[in-house]
Amino acid sequence: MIHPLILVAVFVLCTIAGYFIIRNVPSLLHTPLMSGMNALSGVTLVGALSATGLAYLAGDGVWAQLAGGLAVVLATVNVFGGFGVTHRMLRMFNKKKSAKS
Amino acid sequence: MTLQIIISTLLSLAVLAGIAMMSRVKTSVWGNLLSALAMLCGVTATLCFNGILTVWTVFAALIAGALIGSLMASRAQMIQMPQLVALFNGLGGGASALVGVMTYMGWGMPEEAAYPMFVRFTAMLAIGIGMTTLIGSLVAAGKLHRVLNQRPVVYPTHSLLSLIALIGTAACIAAGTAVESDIWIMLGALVLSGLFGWLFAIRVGGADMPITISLLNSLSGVAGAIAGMAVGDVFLVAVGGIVGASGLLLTQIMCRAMNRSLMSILIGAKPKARPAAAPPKKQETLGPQGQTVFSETTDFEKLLEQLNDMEVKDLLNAIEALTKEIAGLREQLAQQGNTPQAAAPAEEKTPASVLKAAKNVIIVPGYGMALAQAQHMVKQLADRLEMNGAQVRFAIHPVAGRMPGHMNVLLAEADIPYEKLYEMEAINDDFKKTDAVVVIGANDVLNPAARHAEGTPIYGMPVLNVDEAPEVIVCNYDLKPGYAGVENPIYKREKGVYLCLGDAKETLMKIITAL
Repeated sequence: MIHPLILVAVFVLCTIAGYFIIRNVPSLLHTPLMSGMNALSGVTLVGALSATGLAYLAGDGVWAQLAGGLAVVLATVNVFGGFGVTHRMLRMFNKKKSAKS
Repeated sequence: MTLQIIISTLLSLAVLAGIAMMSRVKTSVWGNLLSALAMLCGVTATLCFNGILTVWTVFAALIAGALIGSLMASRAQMIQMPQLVALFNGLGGGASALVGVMTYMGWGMPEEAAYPMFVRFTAMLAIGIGMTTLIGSLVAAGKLHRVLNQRPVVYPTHSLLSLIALIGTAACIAAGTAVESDIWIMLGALVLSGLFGWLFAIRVGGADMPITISLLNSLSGVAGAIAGMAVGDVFLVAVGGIVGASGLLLTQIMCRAMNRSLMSILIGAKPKARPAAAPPKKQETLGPQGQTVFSETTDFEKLLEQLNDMEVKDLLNAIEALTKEIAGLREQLAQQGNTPQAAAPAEEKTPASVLKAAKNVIIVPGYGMALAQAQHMVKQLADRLEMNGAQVRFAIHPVAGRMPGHMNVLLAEADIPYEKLYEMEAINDDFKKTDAVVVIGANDVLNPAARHAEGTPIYGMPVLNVDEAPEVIVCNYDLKPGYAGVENPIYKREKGVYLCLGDAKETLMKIITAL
């Protein structure tokens, strides 16, 4: 188990790093950025997967599988839907360019 | 364990690099793919490290989710983007809440956690934030999709109820930190935080939606990070933190653009937007507005909804009918164009003649363009004007539309090159130098009243200086005040304002035909 303080430190560091990187994004790209971030927030899939898988191995019963399965489905919809939508949007911005060249 | 941490760090850096690439249009597609790839690696690594490659339920759920998500992403129309983003966002929050539930109940947890208090606290916190995000986003999506009332809904003791829900959630989190795996405490946290999410989102109305969505986006990231702390996953904590920061930053940018504090939106301090509290005493230009205006606005939204549903077939018929009646339309147009008695010289000016003569045109799109789905017509107009040798630019207000960058996406959909889209600061000084401005379904973002009408919701909000332009052509549905409920003095200007009222698609078609 990783020490809680390390986890909190990682959280704080990434918040700051994210803040400074995202500040450079022009407002033209704010919608794709938001929708990309939205897809990334489905990263909770990782947690859902490990919890569900370990619960299955530990034999924690039907409720655990139901909750975990639902969590995995929701998170995967978030990830696939989010990245898919973002990709579509970004392709539109680039459409004109690729058509010209 | 060390290997796991190294991989997590590398993947987190890949995500950051992906986001950094999203700051340029050219590299943004690759940036998005890089983030997605990092996510895929993270998922694979999780499966391997936890030795759960043999668990079939996990894969069934993964495939089901992937299919649903991909279908929704590929089927949705661009106009539905805001509610889709809100919906996906809510699902992520819901998943985080469920991870919190599982962790708190001890499902899939090692028998003896090293830091039981920390795990219980973060698990309960993940439930609280995740559930608020889920319900809040669903309400926001419902409002954007028009299945819920778009206006702010305020219950009699709204603030008190919100406070109770919030304190109740906090109490549940505290209780859950102290007591192990208590199903009632867990359910209490779920219900109370869900209630808080509902109360918080239901009182937000149209114009504050972009802010709410980006705030919820931030929350879903934070929920993920907290869930990551509960299960002890570095990658999850890192990416959650990045998302949380980005959402917060976008929220801050938009709040500044609207000159509202985040708190005033959170606690719903918008009494001026409600009819009862909007006495027109401070602006002499305003007629007695209030209740009537607002009830009419609802009808207006219904009408727009119908227009939205117009089929392509109807549209083609309309085009046919229009081409037959060009002559008649021109007359009509001339009448419409001169509603305000312009001291016209010998020849009467019409929107078309103004645009024909213009060498420098700025187009200002707003939410009305999104409602009427007029972006393709706007593109045609821009092409037509450019054929005449005019320079055409687009002025995008930061909060035009219903999510950050809403207008950019719609105009990109219509193939308008992004080099022609200008942010407010970049173009605001050029309005006085331009020959003509075409306003399409925008109102509050160009309302000069924001500069001096103290006490109104938009007072102090930076606006596009459309009023400085010599000729303004307004293609709005009607002249009613926009969401903020403040009348726009531009409409009453004596000279150089041409009002083309009605559905933006049709009015634009008329103008293009006349050109």
